[in-house]
Amino acid sequence: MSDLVVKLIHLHTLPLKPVWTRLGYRENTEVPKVFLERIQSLLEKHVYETKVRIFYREKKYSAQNDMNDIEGYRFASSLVAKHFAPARNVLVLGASADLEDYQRLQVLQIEDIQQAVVLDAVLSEKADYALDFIEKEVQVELRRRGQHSGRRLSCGYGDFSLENQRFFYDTLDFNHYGIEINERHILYPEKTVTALLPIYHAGEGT
Amino acid sequence: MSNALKRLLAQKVVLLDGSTGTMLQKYGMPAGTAPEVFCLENPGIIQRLQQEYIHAGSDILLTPTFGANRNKLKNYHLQEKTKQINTCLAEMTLNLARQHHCLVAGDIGPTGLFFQPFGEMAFEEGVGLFKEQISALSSAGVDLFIIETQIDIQEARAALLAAKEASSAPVLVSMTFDESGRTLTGTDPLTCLNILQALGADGFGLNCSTGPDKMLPVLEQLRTKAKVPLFVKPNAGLPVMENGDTVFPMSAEEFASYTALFWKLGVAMIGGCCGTTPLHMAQVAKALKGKKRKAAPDAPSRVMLSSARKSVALYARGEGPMRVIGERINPTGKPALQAELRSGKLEAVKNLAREQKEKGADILDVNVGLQGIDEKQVMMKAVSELAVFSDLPLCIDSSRPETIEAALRIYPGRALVNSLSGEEKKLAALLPVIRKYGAAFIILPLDDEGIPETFAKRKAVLRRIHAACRKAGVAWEDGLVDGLVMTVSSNPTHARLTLETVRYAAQTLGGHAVLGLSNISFGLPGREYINGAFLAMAAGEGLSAVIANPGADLLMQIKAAVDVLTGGDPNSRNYLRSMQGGGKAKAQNAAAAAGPIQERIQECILQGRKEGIESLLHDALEQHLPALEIINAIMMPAIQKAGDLYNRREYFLPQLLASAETMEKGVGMLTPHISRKERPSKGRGVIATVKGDIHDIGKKIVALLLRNHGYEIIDLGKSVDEETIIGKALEYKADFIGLSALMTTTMTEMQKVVALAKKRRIPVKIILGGAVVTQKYADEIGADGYAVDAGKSVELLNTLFASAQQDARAKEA
Repeated sequence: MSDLVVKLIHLHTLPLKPVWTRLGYRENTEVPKVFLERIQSLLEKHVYETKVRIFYREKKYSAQNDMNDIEGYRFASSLVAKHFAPARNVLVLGASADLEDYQRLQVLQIEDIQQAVVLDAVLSEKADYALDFIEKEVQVELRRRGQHSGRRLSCGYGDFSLENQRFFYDTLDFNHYGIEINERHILYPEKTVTALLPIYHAGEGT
Repeated sequence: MSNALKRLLAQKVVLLDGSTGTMLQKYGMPAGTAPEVFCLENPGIIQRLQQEYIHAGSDILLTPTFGANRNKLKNYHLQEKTKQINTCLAEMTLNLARQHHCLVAGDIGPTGLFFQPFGEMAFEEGVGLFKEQISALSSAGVDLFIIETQIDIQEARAALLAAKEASSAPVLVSMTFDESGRTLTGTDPLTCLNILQALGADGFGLNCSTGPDKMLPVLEQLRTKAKVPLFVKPNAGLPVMENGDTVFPMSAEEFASYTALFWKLGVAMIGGCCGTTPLHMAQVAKALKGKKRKAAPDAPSRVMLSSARKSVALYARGEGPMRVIGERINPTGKPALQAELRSGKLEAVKNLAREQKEKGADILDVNVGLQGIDEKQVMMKAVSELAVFSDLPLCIDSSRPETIEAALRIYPGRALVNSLSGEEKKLAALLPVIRKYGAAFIILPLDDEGIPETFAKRKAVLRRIHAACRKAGVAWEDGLVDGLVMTVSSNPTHARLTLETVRYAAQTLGGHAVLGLSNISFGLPGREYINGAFLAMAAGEGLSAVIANPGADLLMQIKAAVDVLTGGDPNSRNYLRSMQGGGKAKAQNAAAAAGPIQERIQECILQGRKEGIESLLHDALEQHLPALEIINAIMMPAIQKAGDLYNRREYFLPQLLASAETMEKGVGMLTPHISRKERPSKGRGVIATVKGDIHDIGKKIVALLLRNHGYEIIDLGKSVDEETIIGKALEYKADFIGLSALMTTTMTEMQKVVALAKKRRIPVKIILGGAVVTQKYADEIGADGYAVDAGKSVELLNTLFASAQQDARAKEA
């Protein structure tokens, strides 16, 4: 997994409950059946029709005090150092809504805001869910190597600064896939997420 | 299945070997090394491990070739040595195994790619990739294949087809399910079993992912449906961290304690996956001593169809509900669909799929037969798209065997073929296809002489088809006899003839019967009554499925009633549900259509029925209600109520937006009826997402709601700098500025806008919103207000402007 892996997938296994929650649906929400069916139908349509691109690459990792080192890329974060110890490798993860779907969202925001919010919620959830999906996918390989992964962390949490998005952008070759980064380290399409996943090794010679 | 494997399975519960990858790590394989390469470079280590498994009692050794496919080897730049690596590793294993009378299974792991339609890998390319590895292992002489750790049903199908096409050795297929009980791409175990055993797998198994405990309930579910031997290869539990190292926690004794439970569930082969050792296998061998495979209980013979996400059983004689095969995806008589298919688009096909599912179809018939198109290509495209778009199994409907074969090959499920008949050419072309892909099929009792006019002749045709099926190795039980419906208006005996055929298929042959219903009423008025009555009569004869339009309400209601009466809907659950839905919807529509115009307009806004507002407003204007009064006294309270319901979370966002869009459309229609002077404006504002931030949709919702409530809004867009915002506020003489930011790194831009407005002494209110913004932050930077969501932004502005007006009045006084 040290080479960059990029895959465009449908990810129709996305659980719908978090999407409903994102749309503000709660237990006491009262929705006429016809309306509910319409939204469910829209939701299913967008879940089945949209795609997400997943990216990952394994890198060597070490940490000393609060300073983390991923094959020469050094950044300070006590949160990452504390949570990742004693990992010796990390998986650099990313997921992004397919550009075509994102462009469709831009059009819908003008033409049909109701459908746009549903698509927006689906794309947001899909990008997040894609990171779970990558984790599950790599587990097979990790188990075979006698390894397992820990809890992943994304930029913006605690002292894991958003400035590190540039590292993800370069490592995962986002530029090649039409993803942009601005001066505020925001990725475009904004339905793009990144994370680091620690990988723990088996005891050698045990 | 080979004789050697058959013999072994007849003698005992077969013991496979345990883990290779994790054991090689223990024996010193450095991290990051390809296990296949490590084995070639260290033959002594892999042979030592295999010796240990033989010593533990393993009957079958797996070649260490799990990752020896072209795509995986590419990671180590060894893709050009795929054949060589597989041959060497197989020969190494065979040499050792033959000395100890063990069988050798060529081990095939996943490619690491996602296959179409879920991913990008072209199906045939994937089949080719597997064939390369399988051919090498087959040439080396392995006794069977184990395709394992599969997380995607389509990839498993590709591997199985490759094995069947490249070798005559038996093939066992094992899937990996996660905690959700499904594969990573969303297929449940029963569906995997149904698809793979139909496609020719000689055994079906579960491996990796979980420990043995989690496999027990899955096996319980599969045992009555499995027509092939079941096997398991659990992990030694899930890996955990101990003293800084990854360990698999389950001891050999604990692992082996599940052996008796597996045996009770009829498992035919047991092995181990990650974390298991020769000691684990030795303990299992001990527990298996003297045990022969337990016979699986007899299960009712049912045809089961599968999409990649679910399975649908067809029942006979009221064992379950009658199934509806939606007939709408068929271009005959549908010019719009014909035009779409000709242009290569499939939007209409997908819409028909969705509508039919919503109306209660269980299976989707797909027919794209049309003059002037490449039917095979269009069918493949439609099947690919529908496989992702719908979870209903498909019925491949074509008169061309090559189209049917192409569709069956790429369909990641088990489909129904529509249809086989007694025509000699068709039998010769279609039976091998049905056999190869394990499809279920509809049987038309007609032959080269046409449709038989008597029941005796129909029976004779069916007997000939039955014999041809047996000769071709196709299971007759997988067929559904079509009653061949002919128009009753042309001959009154046609209905009776069809019913006799249904009875013969369901009761005498003990199988399944199906009808293409609507032909019966052709040429008659009130066709739905004839169709409905005929469906009920056929159900009484044992009909399993009907090909019909699920959008025909009367027919679907009769079908629901029939299920109750045949016992196919225990406790009338489905019937009650269908009646409840219909009743409620009708009541709502009736309520919406009654009452004074004011209430109807308000209801329309509250229910977000955009399409209904214009005619209501038209009626209101005709009743001489002034346009301004309609907005202020009727529509405004309604949209305010929608906002309140949203704030109380009794409405959710799409509902609020539906109401807002209805309001906007209504206001747009009424505005020309109001003089410019009278047009209501509570205030004018510019609204923008601040510089560096690209999040837009929340701000657009705010703009829509504010417009609804009488504010004029100029939306400046996203990533707008402070100079532009202030400049535009001055240009438009704005009363307020609305700022949005979603990131902590961009919310600081809000401060710049506030500071610039103050510096230039611009008398505007500035309000903030966005996921990371808080009231505290708004106070800190000197903004006039903060709203947590779109609904609250309206309240905030109303409050700000009310107090500003009070201040102004106080000053004047």
